[in-house]
Amino acid sequence: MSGTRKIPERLDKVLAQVKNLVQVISHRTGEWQLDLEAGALPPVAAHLAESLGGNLAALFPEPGQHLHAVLPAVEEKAYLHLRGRLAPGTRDLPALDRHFPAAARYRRILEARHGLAPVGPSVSRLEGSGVFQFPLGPVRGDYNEAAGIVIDTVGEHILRLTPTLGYKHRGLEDRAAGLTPKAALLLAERAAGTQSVAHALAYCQALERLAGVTVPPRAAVLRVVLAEMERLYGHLLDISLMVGAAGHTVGAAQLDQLKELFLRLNLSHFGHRYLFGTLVPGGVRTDLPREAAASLRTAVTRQGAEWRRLFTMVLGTPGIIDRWETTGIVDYTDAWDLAAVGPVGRASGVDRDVRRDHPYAAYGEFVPAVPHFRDGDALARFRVRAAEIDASLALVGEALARLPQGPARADVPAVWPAGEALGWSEAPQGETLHWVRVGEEGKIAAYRIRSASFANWDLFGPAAADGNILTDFPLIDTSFNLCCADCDR
Amino acid sequence: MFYDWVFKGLRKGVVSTAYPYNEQELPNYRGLPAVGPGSCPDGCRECEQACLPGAVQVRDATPVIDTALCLFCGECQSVCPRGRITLTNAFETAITSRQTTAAKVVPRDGRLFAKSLYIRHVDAACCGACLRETASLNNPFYDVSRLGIFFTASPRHADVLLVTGPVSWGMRDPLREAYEAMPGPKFVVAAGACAAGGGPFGQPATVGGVDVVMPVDVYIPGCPPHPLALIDGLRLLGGRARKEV
Repeated sequence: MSGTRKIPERLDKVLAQVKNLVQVISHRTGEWQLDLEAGALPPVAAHLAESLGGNLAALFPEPGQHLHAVLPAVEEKAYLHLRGRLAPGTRDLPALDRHFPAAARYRRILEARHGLAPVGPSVSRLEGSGVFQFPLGPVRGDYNEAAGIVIDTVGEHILRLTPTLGYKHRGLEDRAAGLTPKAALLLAERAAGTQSVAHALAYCQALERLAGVTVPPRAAVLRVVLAEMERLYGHLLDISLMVGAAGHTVGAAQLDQLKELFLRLNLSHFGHRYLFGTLVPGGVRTDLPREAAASLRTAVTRQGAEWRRLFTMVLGTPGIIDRWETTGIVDYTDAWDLAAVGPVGRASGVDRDVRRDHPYAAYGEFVPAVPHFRDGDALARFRVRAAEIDASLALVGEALARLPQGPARADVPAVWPAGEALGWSEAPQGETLHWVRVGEEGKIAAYRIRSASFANWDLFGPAAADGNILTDFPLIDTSFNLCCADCDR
Repeated sequence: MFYDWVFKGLRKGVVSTAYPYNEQELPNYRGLPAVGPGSCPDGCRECEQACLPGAVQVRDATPVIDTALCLFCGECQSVCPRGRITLTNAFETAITSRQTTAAKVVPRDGRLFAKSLYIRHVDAACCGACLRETASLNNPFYDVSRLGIFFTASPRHADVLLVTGPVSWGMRDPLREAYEAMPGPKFVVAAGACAAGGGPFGQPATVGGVDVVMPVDVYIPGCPPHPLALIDGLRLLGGRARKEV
């Protein structure tokens, strides 16, 4: 823990303007904790966001105690963690909706969790001649996750699309309370099966930041390899689904094969197809022997060549590209206001990537190329993912070639010290934030997750309704590829 | 461009596995935990305490593992002072009853589905890994349609309900409705540690495993089960496998 770190000049100046209201408690690498009265939280957060050029990244309610707001300070490569103290006994929370459009979804989830809002579509009927309502889900066709989606149409046109989430609530955060940090890691990586490294990484880093544990250089580079292997199969899966939704089953099958080869590489080199159980607080669980690192590098290079051939073929197939172009447009204003993250945000011009903006693991050394486009349609989302696959292939190769020697795991305290910390990572779907509070006897006292998909669900409805027809729905659905599991938790 | 795709497919040739008609090994797969001979130290409950879902119980100085609930995380292996528990690579672990670890052929109306089996998959709140492995069954590598196994979009056309995930409170009624919409005779397969055993979330956060809601014919352990393990489990249905353990 670097408690003596100097606050950067710009941040110091901005904080000086609100110094009567805010108290700086700690500033660890990449995370500043500020304490204030909950009542002052909305105006102060709005002021900080405006001066530092960020948007609300997360809102973690802890009823009866605190309301935590997280804002990024991009220039300082840090997160501001505002801790709003609630008056004792009160259950009311200050509303941030007026300052941040993105805050509304956190209030909804809070009402649902603590007031037990009904599960299931409760969507009003639209009146008018020729209006038809399609209730989709929660048991949807093929292999889709359980979510309720109500589509109102007039003729072929989508008039309105309303997603209903919450079917998959497993009580993950509450289950973690009272567990040891090591046991709760099993839950963290099961928040979303196809983003397990990102979730485990955010969780482990929160604990490491809390206890002041430094990860050995070899572990930091291996974490980059693991995170990029996850991104590779994740993006290939997304693109395969997108090509399939455009009706090109041959292309989808070819990309699916490539994804399967990456899953097999995960199994042969890290012992799990979805990379469960590869990380521990303090480092990585399975070290990569020298021969394995060399064979992984060769295999990744070979699959990379196959990917580039397939990419050229997909781009040269008008049947696919024509379906993606101008489908499901998210414009920049919406993406910024609703704090879109990941490929969805980057396809609409929100140039944010946690790996570059808030470096963790060895990303300070291995800086990824961050592609971003402004079109905001399904094609742009494809292009972002395709460019990220190229960047990930380069990163994996580079990281494996420069793998430092040494231990792959640092010693961690047997009993975790009490305290709270924030952890972050860039999942294939975007920025993932975990907040952990460790209480007495080193047990988890409170745990909250803000997943990437959770930040993007609000954009899905407007994007689908904007001049698209019903048959565009699978294209928009797959191009967002939102995860319900870590959203409902 | 059309011909490019055709030639691409032709050049690749057949990639499908021959499983279950040949032997398959998964060298690095974390599979069925095996308990070695010997006895545990007096009063040692390290493995029991280390297991998050509670799949290990020490009875008569020997750990007994509920494979349906096991996450194959290897925690028990790492804490065992005498090294009695080891994770093997075994993936053919599907069982028809949670009381025994024995896999036996499902007798009920089995032969009816020997050549054609239609599956409806339902996500009862799974994390996504089991769901993706289920979807993998249709990729060119595993291609279950070569075994006469097909996925269908409607429960009305289905013989088998394949459920993944612990049953969340929100998904309990939709799952039951999907089951009721199926014509008889029908089977239920619970795939993965959550569906088969209730998973790490437990009650009361979730309803529990699928067998709390409806009768289950085959349990497929794994977190997530490998596609080959899923094929093995489905083979127990329809009198396809004569399997003795």
